[in-house]
Amino acid sequence: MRRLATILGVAGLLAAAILFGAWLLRQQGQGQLVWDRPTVKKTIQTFAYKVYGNSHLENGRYFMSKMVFRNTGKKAVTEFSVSYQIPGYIDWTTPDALPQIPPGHTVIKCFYPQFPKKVTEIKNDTPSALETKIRWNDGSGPIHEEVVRDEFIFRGVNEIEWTDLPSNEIVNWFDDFVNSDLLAAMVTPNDPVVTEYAAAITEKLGGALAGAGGDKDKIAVMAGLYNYMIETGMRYAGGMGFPETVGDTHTTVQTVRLPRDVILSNNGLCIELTLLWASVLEHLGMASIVFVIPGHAFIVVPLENELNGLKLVPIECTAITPKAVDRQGLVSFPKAYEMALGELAKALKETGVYIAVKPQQLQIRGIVPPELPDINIDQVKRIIASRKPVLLRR
Amino acid sequence: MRLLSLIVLLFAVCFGTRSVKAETPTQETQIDLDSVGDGTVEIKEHYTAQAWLRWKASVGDHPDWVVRNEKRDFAAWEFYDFSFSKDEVSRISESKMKVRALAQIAKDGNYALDKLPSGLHLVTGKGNEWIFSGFSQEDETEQTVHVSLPGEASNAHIINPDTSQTELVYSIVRPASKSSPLLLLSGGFGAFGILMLGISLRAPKIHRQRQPLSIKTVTQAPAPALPDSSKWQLIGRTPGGRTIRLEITDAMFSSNGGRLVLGRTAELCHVVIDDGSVSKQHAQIRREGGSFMVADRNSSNGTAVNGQFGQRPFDEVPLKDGDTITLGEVKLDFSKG
Repeated sequence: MRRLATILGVAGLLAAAILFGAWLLRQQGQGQLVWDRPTVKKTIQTFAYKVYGNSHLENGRYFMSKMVFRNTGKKAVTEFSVSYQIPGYIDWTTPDALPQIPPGHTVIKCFYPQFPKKVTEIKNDTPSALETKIRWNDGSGPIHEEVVRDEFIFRGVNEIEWTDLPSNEIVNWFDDFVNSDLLAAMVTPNDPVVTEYAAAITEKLGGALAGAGGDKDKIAVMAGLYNYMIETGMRYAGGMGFPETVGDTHTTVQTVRLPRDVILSNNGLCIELTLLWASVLEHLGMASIVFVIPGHAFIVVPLENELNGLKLVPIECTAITPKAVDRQGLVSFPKAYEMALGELAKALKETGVYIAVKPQQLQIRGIVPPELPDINIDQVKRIIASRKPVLLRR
Repeated sequence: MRLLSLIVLLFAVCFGTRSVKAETPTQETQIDLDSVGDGTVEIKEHYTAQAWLRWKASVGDHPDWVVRNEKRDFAAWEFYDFSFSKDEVSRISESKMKVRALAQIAKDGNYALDKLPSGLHLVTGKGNEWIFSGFSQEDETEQTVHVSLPGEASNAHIINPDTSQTELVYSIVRPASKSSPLLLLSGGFGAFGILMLGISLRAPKIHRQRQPLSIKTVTQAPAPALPDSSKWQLIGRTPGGRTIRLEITDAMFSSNGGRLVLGRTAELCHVVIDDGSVSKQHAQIRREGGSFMVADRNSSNGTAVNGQFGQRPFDEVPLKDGDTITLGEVKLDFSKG
């Protein structure tokens, strides 16, 4: 009995030692953090700099940088953090930290930079770089740190990049204008220059305009704006965008001035005039649509009731310059409406090839205009006042 | 006639209402999450006629374009494994994708699903099944999102409800480490082993019942008598006062290779001394010619001759007539009988 107990005791301790050794072996191992090269925007469109800082906009797709981390080890990765720097514009950000990344987990870190408004002072393509600092502890010893550097380009404040798709993914017209929603950031209803312009129109028309009224009032406002432009010498200015290749993306970069520049210069491209229309109408309380079709853009205002089969009033903004629409004499407001109506109906009912940018809705969602440099408003008033209309019709 | 007009009017209203409802675009989304935050997303979209026309103009019959558009629209996600199908008649498209980090682990160790479309309201949320619905201004569609959390999820709740920053937060109760059973078993065996060893060390020495002296006789063919055939005796007393008288003969030596083992256990000895202080095999007496040698057999209490213990076990000491052997606490006088 005593011998049996001794044998059992030794056997039990031996089994315990073996099992404990197996348990110790299982405790071996460490975390292993892996990641792919970051996805970094090759260009930043400075007029829309606020868009890149909004992580809740459009499912977060306006990030500047995206990194996918994965712990492929057996133990948790601890003390993980990511921080960013854009030298000259953004200092090292507060680290975005996680106490631990368990084994088998994926973590996606997107950077939404809070650019300073000084980026709107950039007039031409300006190279810059994003630096990403990654810190982590995989249990092997000291904390690891790695800095990744990626170069990019700041676009000038008046440059819109219509698409940033890789060349091999451009398959149709829509792909060439995939960034059209950013046009909402060029609609500036609260810009003091636009405010003064709208005030001048209101004053000349002798009373409050729009907003509160029905379809009739809306059309009256549009007619007033159209005629004011003609009579104060606003002109359609020709010009085209130019294709440009950035990295592996095929893009059409176009110089599009902001409404304030159109007002001060008293001329604009079709898209610039349309953006000015949208800014003035929005300031006056009217929603509008920047309607883009292949090679052209014009303004459209929604109505409550149908007019000629549509609850929309389109206006050919470039008709303020007769030559732009192949006319000799003055193009009246109804004629400008008629010209645009044909294009609008064709797009809506036949081709389906159009993009309808709704600035008010997009701005509510977060595609907002930049903070613009201060301007001498007295000088603006003088400039606007100097363009006294010869004849003003409602 | 008036009744007929009323019927026609009612029919028109009902039919018209159904027509309006039928043209409302809808989107149904099913999100299934696993225990590490990855998951699958299935989106079923029903288009209006005009929207279907535009959708066909933009992506047409190219599922790869659909994948490209989804990846662009959800660029902040991490897709893999995408499939797509469409029904031209019903104007329905169905996308299914696998996504990593659909719900991400947060600083507090909880998981957060923040990829819910804005404009949705919680319809019902209980346990691991949550349903949201509402009208999306972004897509101008009626949307329903059904979220299924993993079985290990607990404490699911909504933060920032009815905003663009609505999140579904939950924690994961993880099962005990796979290596814990090993540790438990190790501990169990260890405890058992210690217990057994404790029992063996503390086990009382078994004292045999007091029995009459027994002399093991060897039932073999009698050996040829030595020229000087003699008997020897071991006579003594146990500590308890019991008399011991043992007889040793030449025949016993002859039958056992000239050596007799003395001890407590009959099966292991030639001469049995029944006392607790005597080991099972305590000592031996070897005959060499006409003389005797006694040696201790590594007993617990030792063997002495005339009070002198041997240096080491199995060291032989001469034994002469009249000597006293002490085995444990039993003293025996060795004499020629």
